[in-house]
Amino acid sequence: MRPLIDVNGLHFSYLNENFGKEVLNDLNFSIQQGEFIAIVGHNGSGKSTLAKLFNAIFLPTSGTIFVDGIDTLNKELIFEIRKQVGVVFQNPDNQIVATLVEEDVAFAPENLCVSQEKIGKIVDRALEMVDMKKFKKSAVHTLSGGQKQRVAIAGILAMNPKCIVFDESTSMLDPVGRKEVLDVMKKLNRENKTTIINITHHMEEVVFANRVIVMKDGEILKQDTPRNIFSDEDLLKKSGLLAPQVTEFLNTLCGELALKKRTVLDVDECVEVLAEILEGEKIGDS
Amino acid sequence: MAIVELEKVSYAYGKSKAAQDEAISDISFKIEEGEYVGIIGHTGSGKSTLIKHLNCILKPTCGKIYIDGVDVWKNKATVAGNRQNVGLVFQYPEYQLFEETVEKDIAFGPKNLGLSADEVRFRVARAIEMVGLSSSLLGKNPFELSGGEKRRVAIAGILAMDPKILVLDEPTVGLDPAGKEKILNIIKYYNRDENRTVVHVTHSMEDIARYADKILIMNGGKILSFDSVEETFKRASMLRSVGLDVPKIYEVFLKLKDKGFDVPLNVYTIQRALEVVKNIVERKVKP
Repeated sequence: MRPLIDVNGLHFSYLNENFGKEVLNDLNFSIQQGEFIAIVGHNGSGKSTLAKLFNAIFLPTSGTIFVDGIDTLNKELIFEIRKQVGVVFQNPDNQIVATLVEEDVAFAPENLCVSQEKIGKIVDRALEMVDMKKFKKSAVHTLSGGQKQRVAIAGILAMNPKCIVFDESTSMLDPVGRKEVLDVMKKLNRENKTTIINITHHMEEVVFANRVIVMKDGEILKQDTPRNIFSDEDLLKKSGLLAPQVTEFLNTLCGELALKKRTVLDVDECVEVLAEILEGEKIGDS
Repeated sequence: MAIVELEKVSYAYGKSKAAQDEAISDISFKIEEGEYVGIIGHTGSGKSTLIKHLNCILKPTCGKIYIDGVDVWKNKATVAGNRQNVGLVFQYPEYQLFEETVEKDIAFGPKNLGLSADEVRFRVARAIEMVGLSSSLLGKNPFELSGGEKRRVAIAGILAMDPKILVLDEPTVGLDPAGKEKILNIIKYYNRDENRTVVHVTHSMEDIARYADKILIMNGGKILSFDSVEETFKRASMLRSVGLDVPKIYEVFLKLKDKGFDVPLNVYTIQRALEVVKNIVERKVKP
């Protein structure tokens, strides 16, 4: 099957600052429709630059990116690409363009010259997807950070994209807001088969991905499932990442008790393994 | 003696005097010298409004604020004195870097305190060491640094003022795990080794559980609870009811207890969890 996003020999450097310094160095990977990808890496590893290459905000210095079969260098089809790949940025206050929620969500379809009648339906459907329909007539500035991010997502959904990139979209939100946005990501991926690319520093979010891309200094260090990534302690050290608290705890515990290593991803898995360890000792005692 | 004391402090933005418009209302608490206090609460709970009162950026609509025993709004001199006592690190402090070299940026505060050139140089050298950056960066343009480095320079600028009370508003937001760890260690150092009072606003329960002595929880502009870390996390359902979480590792032990395991519940950090489990296991293998 043709991948939704296909990256070949991608290099990128900014022309004005740090001239000649490669921000992205020979990236090769592809993403299939319906995948849930997490991209992680230290500050300055090139994650956000990559995000902006997915929808032709930046163009490759060399190499290519194909989105749904279209080369992002093809200037004539640039709006087609932007319709397919939407980006939700970090700061909820920097990406809302209108004063009312429904006007903001209608911004893209209005620009695409969709009829008024259809726009109404599109806006309702998009707001429903992110569970914000009851705020349709609300002023944007009265919303919480998580709600604003969901309005931004609805604005993208109004274009019916195949892929949404979240560029640290939860980092300015409190735990409630973070969960709201994460739940929307999961729902879109599950129900609409929307491809999700989540760029994040929060390892608790990474565990929901089906594939993790680990970046360092503009290169891909490893691509694998969350479990395999978090069990690779050398990789974590090398890339400056930390496993989620429960994962790190159990990795360390198994090491110190000389038990077979078990990589858990969430609280429930951790409880299960700990119960086994504690119970096992009970049996040994009797 | 309490180094920070708020007495029935309320604040409403704009000209409103109405109680329902108050961003924070009827706030009273004391912080002892050398304490590390974490402030948590969801967006809009009044955390940032509250800490802006600690160094006189906001003047309370009513109520009194005593810092180091002084009624800070008594006169102009007490306000100026307060700004020296309290160093406030805003969210994304790196956006406030403005000088052409790292050295000048860090020196800006101490210079304005009217210190001698020698003293300023000493303060800058000490501050950059405290934040774990090489002194070779001093001549660099701050905008050439990475995000994490910039933020540490911004914090160094505050530390160079040698504040008695260091207040930080979400200092680790947007940093990678390694950068975050470095910031947390700087704060811990300033608190433990320099014996300074720290007020740290955060959303991360895991961060707070590691170093704080006490936790102040804000909800709807009011103090919901102000207690030791242990007592605070004991009330997990209260935390969840206001949209906050307990550290994941604590959740693990709550669930183990539910399953009938005889485990202690005062487990909020990985270090403590390791001790507890190893203890149980060792006790059992011994004859």
